[in-house]
Amino acid sequence: MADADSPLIAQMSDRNSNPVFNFTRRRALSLGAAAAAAFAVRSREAAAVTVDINQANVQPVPIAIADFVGGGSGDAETAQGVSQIITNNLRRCGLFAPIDPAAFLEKITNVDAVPNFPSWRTINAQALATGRVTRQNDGRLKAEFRLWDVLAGQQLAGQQYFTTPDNWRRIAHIISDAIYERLTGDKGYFDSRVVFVDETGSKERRIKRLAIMDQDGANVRYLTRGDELVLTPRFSPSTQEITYMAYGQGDPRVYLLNIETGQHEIVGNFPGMSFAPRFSPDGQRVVMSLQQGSNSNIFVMDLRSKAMTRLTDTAAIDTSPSYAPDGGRICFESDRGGHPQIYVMSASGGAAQRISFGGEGSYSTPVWSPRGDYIAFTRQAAGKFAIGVMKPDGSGERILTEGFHNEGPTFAPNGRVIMFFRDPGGNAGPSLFTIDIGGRNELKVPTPSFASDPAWSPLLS
Amino acid sequence: MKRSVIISSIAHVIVLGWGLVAFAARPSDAPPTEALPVEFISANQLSQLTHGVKNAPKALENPKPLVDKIGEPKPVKELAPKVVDKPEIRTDTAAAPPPKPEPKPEPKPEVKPEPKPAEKVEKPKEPEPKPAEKAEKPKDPKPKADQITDELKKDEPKKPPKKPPEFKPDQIAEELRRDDAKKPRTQQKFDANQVAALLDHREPQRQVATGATLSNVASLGTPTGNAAHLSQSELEALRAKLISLWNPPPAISSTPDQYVVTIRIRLTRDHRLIGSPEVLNGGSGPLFEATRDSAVRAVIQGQPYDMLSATTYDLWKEMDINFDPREVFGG
Repeated sequence: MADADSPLIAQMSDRNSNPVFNFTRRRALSLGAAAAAAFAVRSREAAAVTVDINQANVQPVPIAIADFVGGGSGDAETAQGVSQIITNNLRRCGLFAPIDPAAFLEKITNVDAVPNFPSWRTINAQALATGRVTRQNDGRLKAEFRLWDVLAGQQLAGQQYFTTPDNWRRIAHIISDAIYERLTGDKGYFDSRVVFVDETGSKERRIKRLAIMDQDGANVRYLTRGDELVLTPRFSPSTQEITYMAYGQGDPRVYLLNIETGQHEIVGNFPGMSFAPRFSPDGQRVVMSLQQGSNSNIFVMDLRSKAMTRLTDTAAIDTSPSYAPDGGRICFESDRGGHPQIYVMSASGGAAQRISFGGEGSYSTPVWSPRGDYIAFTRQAAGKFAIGVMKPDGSGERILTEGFHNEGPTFAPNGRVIMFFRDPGGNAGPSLFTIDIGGRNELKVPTPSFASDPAWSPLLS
Repeated sequence: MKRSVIISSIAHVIVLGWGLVAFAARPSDAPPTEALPVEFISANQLSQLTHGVKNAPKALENPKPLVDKIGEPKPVKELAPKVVDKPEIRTDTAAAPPPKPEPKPEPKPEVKPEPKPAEKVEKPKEPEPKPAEKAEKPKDPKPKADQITDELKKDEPKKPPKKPPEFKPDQIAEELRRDDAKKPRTQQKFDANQVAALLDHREPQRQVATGATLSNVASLGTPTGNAAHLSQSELEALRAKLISLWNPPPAISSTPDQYVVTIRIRLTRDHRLIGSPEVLNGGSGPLFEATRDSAVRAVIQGQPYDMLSATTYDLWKEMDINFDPREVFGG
């Protein structure tokens, strides 16, 4: 797939093109150190009345996403597609409540004109996104958008991008991220992909193929042919590579796959089984489990030097290692205490500290959030599988979803959303779901057939 | 037998009937009292609300008259009039006020002292009104100024005639008997209706001052002397409105203490914002911007702030609002 190589140029904000916004309060605030210093020095007396607001009403932000305007004849369809993808992204993330376009009182025809804010206030929109998609003479696609604060009556963001026409979906995701970031203050996650195991065929003769798709389920592409069983694919945080486990001939082995070139490679050559691989945050190492008799221990391999380092040495099954985003610590699963539980240790090995103490259940598949604030896990208790999160010190455990079989959590690049798979049992197969780390907004991810073992990529841009 | 039954039943009917009338006629319920709205605020809040500003600008030389309500101009009367023309009290030791004493002193000694010794005992009842009348008689424009000296002088001439009268025991007894007969002994009866008459029927002290334009700048030294303050219910209504409108970004939940935003708003008399809300504290980064914007959106959406009373405009024309996410996200 040539997406990542496509020319994609983000230009500077074009706020200055509109004289109305040459000097807003926001600009004044960002004028630099001198202005900031003056601002701070200016003496102030407290007003007669000070009111403390220490509660809030956190809810999805009502946003109007006007249909993007087609710059030329034939651009209208693409333009509409872009606004639909943005609407879908923002709705699915749970932090926005896109307003039904049927309620709009103003039809945006000129993206460069200031919208009629009162008509957008009437429909209770707090933000408004407008944009235009134009095919250039050189064949490239130009996409522009503006984000408006309807209540304050000013522009919050404005960008334009150039790309190849077949890349229009990615443009829509990038604009979604820009809107998300400006309004929530957090990094977005829409311009990302998910690798997963696609499952077809009957339960007895299930064919498992490695597949990759956009985070919204579009652009599915198969990476393996299905002649070997694949499990636990993991994205490299910095390169277009995936590591996974496959049963080929003989023992299961850990593989590396370059998704651009399609090149496969076995990681190391060890006696016995190697499994549960995961990249280090810098993408230079792979941490995994190696079988040793009836036990397994955790090893890390430098991808360039191929040097192996042992991290644990116990008479137990230590597996599912996952790095903290700073690379300093590793969380993993071990049954050294009798039941599988989650432990944390230094990335160089040594003593490990148990962090999961949730009663009778067993804990597995720990994953450290890219933000560093949580560790997601699968908990098995009383015949049910639950997905939950806890802080890296083991406190604040929270179950997000529970049922017959939920497994394999993976974090979105911003750490706000978790994807996992759920198998309802019976003759049906597994499907992918997303849920936010507060346990709200559970949504099914559309896939062409059954799907399991998702792994979220980092942001593409 | 039959007769006694009849008599008994008639007597019962009469007693019961009387009881029915007598008890029913007397209303036993106390009249309902009007409920008084009471608010509890802490002493700290009170002092905060009523405290003055040390370096506040001085009031104008000719301040606008106090006007609480728009209407036909009707200034409030000063109920405790200022003592402006209070006369000077002079005593004899002070420089002699020559013109005044002239008319009075002479006549009195001559008129009174002749009483016959026999009537002496009875007389004392009347002497009081007389000197009082006499004191009022002189139509001097400033009579009161001399009252003290006059009284002193009046007393002096009276002293000489106080010769020990000749007392005859029989006479005294006779006089006493006569007195008793003259005065019918009237004992004061308590009449509840008269209590009302004793009550003060003056109007309540503080009235609403009306005028063409509102001005709550009370003049110096109002009878009540309390500073105007926003009632707790006004503040609570304001808080409730802003809480319902504030939608901070959830991403600040991990470090909410870094994203406290203080916004100064200025309001018109019709409860709307003047200009854009001013963000008082600095900060940077996309999270701060998003938090700041959420607070600004809340105060813009909160218009009009009509829960605030027009009489306290001076207090709420400028307000600082702290949007503090620490408790929102349990930090």
